[in-house]
Amino acid sequence: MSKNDRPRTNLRPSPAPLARPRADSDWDDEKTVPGLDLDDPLNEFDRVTAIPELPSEQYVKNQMEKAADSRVPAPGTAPPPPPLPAPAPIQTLAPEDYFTLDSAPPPSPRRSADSTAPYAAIRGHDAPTVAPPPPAVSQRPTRSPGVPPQSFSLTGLELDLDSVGRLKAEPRVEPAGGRLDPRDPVLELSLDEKAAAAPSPETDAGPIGAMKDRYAMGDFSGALLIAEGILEANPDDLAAPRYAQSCRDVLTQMYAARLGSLDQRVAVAVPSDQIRWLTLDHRAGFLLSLIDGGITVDQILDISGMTRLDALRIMYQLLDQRVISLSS
Amino acid sequence: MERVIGIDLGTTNSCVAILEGDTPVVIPNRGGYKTTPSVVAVTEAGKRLVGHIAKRQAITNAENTVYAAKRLIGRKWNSPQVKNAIMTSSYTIVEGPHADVRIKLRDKTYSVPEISSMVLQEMKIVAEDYLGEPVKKAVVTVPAYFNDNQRQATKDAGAIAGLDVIRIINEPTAASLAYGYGKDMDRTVAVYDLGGGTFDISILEIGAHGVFKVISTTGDTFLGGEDFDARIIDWLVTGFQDEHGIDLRQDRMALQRLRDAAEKAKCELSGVRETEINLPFIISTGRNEALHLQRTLARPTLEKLTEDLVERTVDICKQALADAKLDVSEVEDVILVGGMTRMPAVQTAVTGYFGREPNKSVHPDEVVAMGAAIQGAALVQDRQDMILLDVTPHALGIMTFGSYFEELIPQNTTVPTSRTKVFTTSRDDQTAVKILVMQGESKRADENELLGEFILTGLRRAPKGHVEIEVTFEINTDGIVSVHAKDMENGQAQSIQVTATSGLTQDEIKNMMTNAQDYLVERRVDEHFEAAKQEAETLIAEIERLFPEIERVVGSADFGRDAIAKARTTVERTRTAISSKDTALVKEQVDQLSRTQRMFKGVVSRG
Repeated sequence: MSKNDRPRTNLRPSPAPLARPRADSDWDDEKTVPGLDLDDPLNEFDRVTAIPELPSEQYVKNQMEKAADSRVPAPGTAPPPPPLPAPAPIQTLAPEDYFTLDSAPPPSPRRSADSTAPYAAIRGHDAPTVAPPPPAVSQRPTRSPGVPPQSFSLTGLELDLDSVGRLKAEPRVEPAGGRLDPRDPVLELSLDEKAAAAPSPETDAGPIGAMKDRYAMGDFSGALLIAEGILEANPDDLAAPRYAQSCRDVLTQMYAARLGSLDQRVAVAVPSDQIRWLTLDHRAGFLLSLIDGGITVDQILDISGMTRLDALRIMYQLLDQRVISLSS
Repeated sequence: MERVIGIDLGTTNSCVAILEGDTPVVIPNRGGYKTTPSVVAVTEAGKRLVGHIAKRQAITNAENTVYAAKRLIGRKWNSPQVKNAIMTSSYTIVEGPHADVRIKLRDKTYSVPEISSMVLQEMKIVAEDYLGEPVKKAVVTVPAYFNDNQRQATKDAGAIAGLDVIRIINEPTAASLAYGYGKDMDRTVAVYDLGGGTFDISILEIGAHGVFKVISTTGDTFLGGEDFDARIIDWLVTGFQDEHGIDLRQDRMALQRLRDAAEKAKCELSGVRETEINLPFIISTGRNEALHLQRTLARPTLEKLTEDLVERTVDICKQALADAKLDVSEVEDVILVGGMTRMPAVQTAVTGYFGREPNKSVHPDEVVAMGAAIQGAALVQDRQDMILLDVTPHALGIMTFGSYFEELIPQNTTVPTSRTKVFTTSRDDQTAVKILVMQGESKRADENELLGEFILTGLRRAPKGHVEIEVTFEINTDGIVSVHAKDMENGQAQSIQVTATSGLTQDEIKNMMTNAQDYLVERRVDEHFEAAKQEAETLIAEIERLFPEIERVVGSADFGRDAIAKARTTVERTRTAISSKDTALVKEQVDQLSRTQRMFKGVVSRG
């Protein structure tokens, strides 16, 4: 049984680790998130970087109290809406529990056997130290020219909630006309009745919010999973394709970095009579069948019949499980 | 002396050979294979794949992989063969601007000669890598039934690939040459050519002075090794479906593996009595498990699965002899061509029909290229005793009243040549006559190929049969056909010059040649970079291996620390040069790395 084997359940993303800032991190939004334009109505990253000044527990308590007060209806008004469910508690996990590699992707009943599959999360120690910028409206994030994929640093991304208090909260400003500004970051933690009654369909609620959360925390596999789920349900969604492509780009670079030079020759490291006792799927079996001792990683990617990301992920898994070996 | 390569541009596989001394030698490609699949593909990333690597993704990338382009080369858009190909091919075939055929791969459209030129270019590169020098000239083989347009298209493909095709020769003729025929002998031979995609049987009369006459040639352009593979695939798929209820054909990856395994098993069974087909993880089920395919295929089973295919080839042989008006006993030798003739059942069938053991002293998949190489060397060395005389591959004539074909120049006539015949009007008061120049062997004009037409006017009004028109056919040494028609009474004349066309204009060919040259340059640059990178990485690994020892020996001294720091800097600079893909810089660093390595080795040996 492969150490990466685990029951496949559903498309629910794996729990993300807590992210800690580096010692020299600057929590000023405009500097830590390149390309962030607070005036840009389409930039959806405002919410994830707006952390209040108070310790989080105190802040949440204050907000809950405000919400309890605001929920008391005035005489003659409609009964208050049902309270929103409390947010799921953030679990603190050991690094080795953050991400594990699935040996095979969870099946989707709507996909055929040879189609691309949802992606497994990658190991926590493989996550980059710096989250790439969010996908802009008109262009995908790119890394600096000349910087090879190997330049990615492979340490975990962690968030230290103790440092949250150093941040300034954006003052809540009532926009003209009394209409709430959906970009107001304080709205995220506000249980204000108006916001609760009319959540923005574009930003906060449900899968889109979860997708952005995952992306911001560096769980690109999880974010991609959710993005693809969103696109299946709503192919016209604007945000999901951008996030999906950005995740794919990042994951592709990361897996390529793990494999090293793509000019390396690939060889099967397991005796042929033992291959069938491994736990693989048909796509890994197909990639194995391409290996003839002289083929390179790059050539396998060319003729894999699947997306580059899928092929890289499977190659990495095979290498990690010592099913294949690479040599220059 | 200039080298001339011989190329067998096959429907499924191509081969290149050269004469070394007096011996034709087949040149293996980088993978060590002596044949290269005639397959071209374009990946999603826009990368061109040719040969084995293209074949290995032919099913998973079917829409952008071209195979069997030879079935289309030189053909007109409205020909029945093209219509058939449109229905059966996985890639997109579209009409070109000159009623020719084009193929769409990704977002670009290619002419068929352009696709074939990619295969020829690959063979050129194989030869140049072997010889260590540029190759400019080639002799390329074609099927005996190819008409002038198809031959010209093949020449154009060579030109696009940067090759001057100095001669196009027939495949059965090339095979006969390789077997040593043509030297002062008079023989009637049968060339049985069962390749990967096509079957051809040709009856040749080999006479003195290098004249090879193709008396008859026939075959099936859709009967070859791939059909034998398909039978094995059917057998495997059916068995798997019976066992697991899953149709493996529905999955492209599974089908690709099946095809590769079927071909491998078929080849193995030519030498052993049974072979195992083992395909682990061939398909995943909906229950999160992957299934394996493992079956043993015995030779008798394969022969049973394919006996109708072998019988069909024998039926076609009977037709060829009937066309040649020969009895089977008059065939003095049988030559086997094509990889499929290695199959014992095929050899048995051939022996059984012709009543004699076939000549198999030369590798059947190499013999055509070897014959082309022999001819190429003879042309360069001006060995008159070895040079094949050019002959017209098909009869030439005009259409006459009632849609009949009147032959003026018979098939296999040596060139240059000239023939004249006198014709008359077919209607009363006919003042003009249309001359339709045709090529082919059929008595019916509509079954032959139209090469060109012109009208001769100003004829005297007279009852039919009273006006005489002299028609003259000329073929010069370059194979250009000229047809003259003259009113013998008043001397009024008209003529036409017929040149074969591939459907491409000269400008188009020039553009394609430029593109092909650019591709070759880019590829060579990549290869030079890879070679430099390989050398650099080997030196870096060696230097890094020596670092601990160097540090132990001289690390405590200032000069030692300095040397180690400089070595590390050189290594980093090399890595940066490799990342930036700067070949010149990498080579420069390789020199420094070599010096560093020598120095380190010296220090370690003295330490």
